[in-house]
Amino acid sequence: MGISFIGAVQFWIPTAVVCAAVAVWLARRRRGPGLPRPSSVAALGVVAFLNAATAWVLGLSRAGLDLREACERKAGVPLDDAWNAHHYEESQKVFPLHARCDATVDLVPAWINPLIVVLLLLTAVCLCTAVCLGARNVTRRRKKAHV
Amino acid sequence: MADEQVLRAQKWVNSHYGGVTGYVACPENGLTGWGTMNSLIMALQHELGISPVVASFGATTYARFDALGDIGFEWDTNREIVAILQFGLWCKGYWAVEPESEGWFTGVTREAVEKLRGNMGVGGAGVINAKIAKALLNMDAYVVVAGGTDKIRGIQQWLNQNYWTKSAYSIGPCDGIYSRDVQKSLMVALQYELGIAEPNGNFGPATQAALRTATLGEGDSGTKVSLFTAACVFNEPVPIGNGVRTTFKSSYDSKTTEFVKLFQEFSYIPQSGRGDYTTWAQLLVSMGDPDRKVTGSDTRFVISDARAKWLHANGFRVVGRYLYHPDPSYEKQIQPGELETILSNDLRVFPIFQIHGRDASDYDYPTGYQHALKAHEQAEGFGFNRGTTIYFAVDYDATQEEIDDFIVPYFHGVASGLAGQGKKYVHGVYGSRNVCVNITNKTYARYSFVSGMSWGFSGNLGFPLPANWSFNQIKETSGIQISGSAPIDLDSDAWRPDSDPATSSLNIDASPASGFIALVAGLYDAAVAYKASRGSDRDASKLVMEFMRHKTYGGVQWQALIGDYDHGFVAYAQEKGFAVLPEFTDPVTGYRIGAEHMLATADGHFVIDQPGNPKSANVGDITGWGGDLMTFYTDWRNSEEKYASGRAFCEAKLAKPGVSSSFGFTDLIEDADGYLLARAVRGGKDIATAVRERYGNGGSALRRFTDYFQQRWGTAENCKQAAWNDLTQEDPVFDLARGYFITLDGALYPGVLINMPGGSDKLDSFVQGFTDAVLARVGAE
Repeated sequence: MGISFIGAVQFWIPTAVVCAAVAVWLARRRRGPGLPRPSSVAALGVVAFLNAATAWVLGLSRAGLDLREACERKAGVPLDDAWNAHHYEESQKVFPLHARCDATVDLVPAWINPLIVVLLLLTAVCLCTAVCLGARNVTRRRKKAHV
Repeated sequence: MADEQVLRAQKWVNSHYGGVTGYVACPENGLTGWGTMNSLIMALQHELGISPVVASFGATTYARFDALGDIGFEWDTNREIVAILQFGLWCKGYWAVEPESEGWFTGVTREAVEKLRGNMGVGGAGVINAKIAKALLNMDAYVVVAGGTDKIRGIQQWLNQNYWTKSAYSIGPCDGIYSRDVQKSLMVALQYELGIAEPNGNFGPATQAALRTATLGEGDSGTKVSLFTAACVFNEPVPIGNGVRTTFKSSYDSKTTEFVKLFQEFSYIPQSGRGDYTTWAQLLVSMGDPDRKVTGSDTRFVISDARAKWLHANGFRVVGRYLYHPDPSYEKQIQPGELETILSNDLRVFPIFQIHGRDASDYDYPTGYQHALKAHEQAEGFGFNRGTTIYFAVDYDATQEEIDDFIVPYFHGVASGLAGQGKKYVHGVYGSRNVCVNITNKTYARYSFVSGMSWGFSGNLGFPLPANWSFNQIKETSGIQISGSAPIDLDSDAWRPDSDPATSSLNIDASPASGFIALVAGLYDAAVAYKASRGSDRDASKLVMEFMRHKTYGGVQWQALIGDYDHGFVAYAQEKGFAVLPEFTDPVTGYRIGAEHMLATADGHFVIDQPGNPKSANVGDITGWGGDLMTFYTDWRNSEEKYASGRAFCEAKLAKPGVSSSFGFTDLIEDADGYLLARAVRGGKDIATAVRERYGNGGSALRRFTDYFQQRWGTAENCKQAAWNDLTQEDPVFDLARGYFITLDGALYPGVLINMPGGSDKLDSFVQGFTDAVLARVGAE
C-alpha cells in the first residue's frame, strides 16, 4: 500500500538535482561571518518549495487516474461506492490530499500533508527572511550614502 | 533447437538396441522428448535382462535396478548401463562426461550427478540409485522453466528432500510449475504425515478421516503447517482485488490466517481462517468437501412440482437443466411448463447445453456454431431472458492438446453462432478447471461451471479454481426418493454468491443494459433542460459524461487532463433524483462493465479528438488505452523475473477474463466503448442515441473491437507504433503521466529501458503483445 521507495527516489531525482545545484552555488558564494545574503536565503526557499511541490505530486499520484482500480491494487480493498457517494469531494481537493477508498483507508500516506505544510512554512519563512535581509541591506546602503 | 549431445544419444541408443524385441526407435533430431527417454528406458531394461522391453520405468525395472545398488565413481559392472545413464544426463542438460567417453563413470559424471541431485533437492553424493535413475529417465525438469517460479520450485525441492526415500514417493519435478505430479507429491507427503498405512496420493476415505483431525490454526507450526501453506501457494493467487498471494512457511501466523480467509471467501466455504477439514479438502481436490451444504444442483430429470418442493425443502435454490436432447420427449430436456413449475416453487434455473461431448471428436468450430444456433433456438423457445448464460458442456477429461486443437475452436464457433443471433444469450462453460480456464481466457466465456466432482481428472488436478466460477459440481447422489415422484439422480453444486444470478423470470427481452440506457436518456434530457435554463455552453452529451464520471474520475488529475466537470449540472441532476451508476451488464459478453470509467474515457476522447496520425498518441488516449498501457507496462517490469518477454506477459495477462491484471478484459471493453461513444457524439449523435444504439438489442457493441481497431489505428503497424509512442514520446504531459504510472511504482522508465542493451527489443516485444491482444479480440468477433 505504501509508496515504492525506489519509485519515490526516482521521482525525486530531478528535484534532488536542482537542490544539489543550489547547494553547490551557495557553498561557492559563501562569505565570512555575519548574516547570509538575501539571495541565498531566497534560494533555500525555492528549494523548500520545490520539495513541497514534489511531495504534493507524490501524494496526488496515489489515486492515479482511476481511484477504483488504485484501491483494489494498492490497498487490496474495493472502493466503497456508498461511502464515496457522499465523500468523494475529499479525494478531489488540491489540499489536503486524500485518496479515500472508504472511511478508514486512505491511499495518501499520513505523512504527506504534514510534510507539505512544513515545507511550505519553511518556504514562507525563507522568503520573508530574504525580503527582510534585502530591505535591511538597502537601508544600510542608503545610510552609508548619506554619511 | 537441436542439441549435439542429444543427437548423439539418439543415434547411440538406436544403433545399439534397434534389434531388441519390443524396442521402439526414437527420432534422431537432437531434441529431447519422451521418445528419446523411452528408448533409453528400453535400453536399460535390456541391460537389466528384461524382455520384451516396454516404454515404462515400471516395478520390475525399478527392482532390477535397485538390486545393483548405488552406481557411482568408477562403477564398471555394466558399462552400457553407465552409458545409458550418461546419455540421460545429456538429455537433461547436464555435462555427463567427456563426449565419446560414455560408459566410464568419471569424476565429471560424479559432479553432474551431484548437481542433478542438488537441483532435485535431495542432495548427497554423486551416485545413482533406482529412484534417481527413474527420475533421470523422464521428462521432468529440475530447474525453473518458462512460467515457473522460484517459490514453487522451493516447495518442490522441499518435498523431494523430505520424502524421496519413502517407498510411495517418487521424485517430482522442480521446474517451478504447479502440476498434477506436484499435487500428487504433496498428497503422498501429507498421507505420510497423517500416518496413512499405504500412501497412494488419492483423496480416499482414510485420508479424509485423518484430515478431519488435522485442523490447523494460528500459532501452530511444524511439517503439517508446511504442507498446508504449500497447498495455499499452489492455489494462489486468490483472484480478489489484485490477486492475493501467500508464502511457504512452517508456522501458521496471522498472514496465513488472512490468506486463508480470502481463499475461503473466494471458494465460498466458511471463513474461519483455520486449516479445518473443509479448507484442507478445498485446497487439495477440486470438489472440496463433498458433504458440505450447498444451494445449487443440476439434474437430467424433469423437475416436477413434487421434486421442486423437495429441492426447496432440502435447501436448494437453483437447478441446472438441459436445453436440448435429440429426443425431446426424453426428460433430460426441459419439458413444457417445467420452468414455470421451478420458478413457482421459489427456485431459479440455469440452462446447460450438451450433445454428446464425451470425446474430442465431438468438438470443432462448425459443431460449436451449430450448437449455438440450436441453443439459441431452444432457449428462446423456453422463454429464457435476454442476457442469460448458457453453459456448453465438455463432459470428459480433455487434455491440453485437445483443448487447444478441438475445444477452443468449438467455443469460438459457439461465440460466433450466438453473435450471429444478436447475442441474446452469452456462453458459459462446463468442464474441468483447466477447460474452464482455457475457454474463459481464449473465448471470453462469462462463467465457469466446474465439474469438480471428477477430482481425478487431469484437468482438475494441479489447477486452481477458475476466477469466474459460478457453480462447482461437488457430489452426485443417485436414486433420491421423493414422495409423489419417481427417484431422481441429482448433482450438488456449490453456487457462488455474486456470480451467475440464474433465471428467476421468463420472457423478458429487455437488454441487460436497459437500466443504463434509460439513465443516460434521462440524464441527457436533464442536460438539455439545464442548458436551456442556465445557459451553459457545454454540449449536453458532455454534461452527461461529466456527471457519470464526477465522483470517481473528477480529481485534480482529471481536471489537469480534460478540465473540471460542471458542478452546477451535477447539483441540478442530483436535485432531479439522478445518481451515478457504477456498472452495468454488457449485453454482448455478460460481464459487468464500469460506466464511470467508460464515460470518463469518452469525455477524454470527446475533449481531445484522436490525433490526425493514427501512429501518434495524445492526452485523450491517456484517459483510455494509453493510461492503462502505462500501468500494465509497470506490472510487466515488476514481473520480469517470471516474464522476460513482454509479448508473453501480454499473452498471459492483457484483457483476459478472470486474470488479475491492471489491464483486464473489462478495461479494454470500457476503453473501446468510451472511444466509440466519443466518436459517435463527435459525429453528431447525442449520447442517449449513441448508448442506445450500442447496448440496445442487436446493438453495435457486437463489433466493438473491430470498430475500435479500425477507427483508432486502422492497421497493426499503426497500433504498435502508437503503443510505442505512448510509452516513449517526449511530451510534458506524457512524461508526468509516466512518472505517475511507471516511475512511482518503481519500474524502469521506458525511455531508459530502450537505451539499455536489448531494451529496445524488449519494449518492441511488449507493444507487439499489446497489438496482438487487440487483434485477437477483433478476430474473435
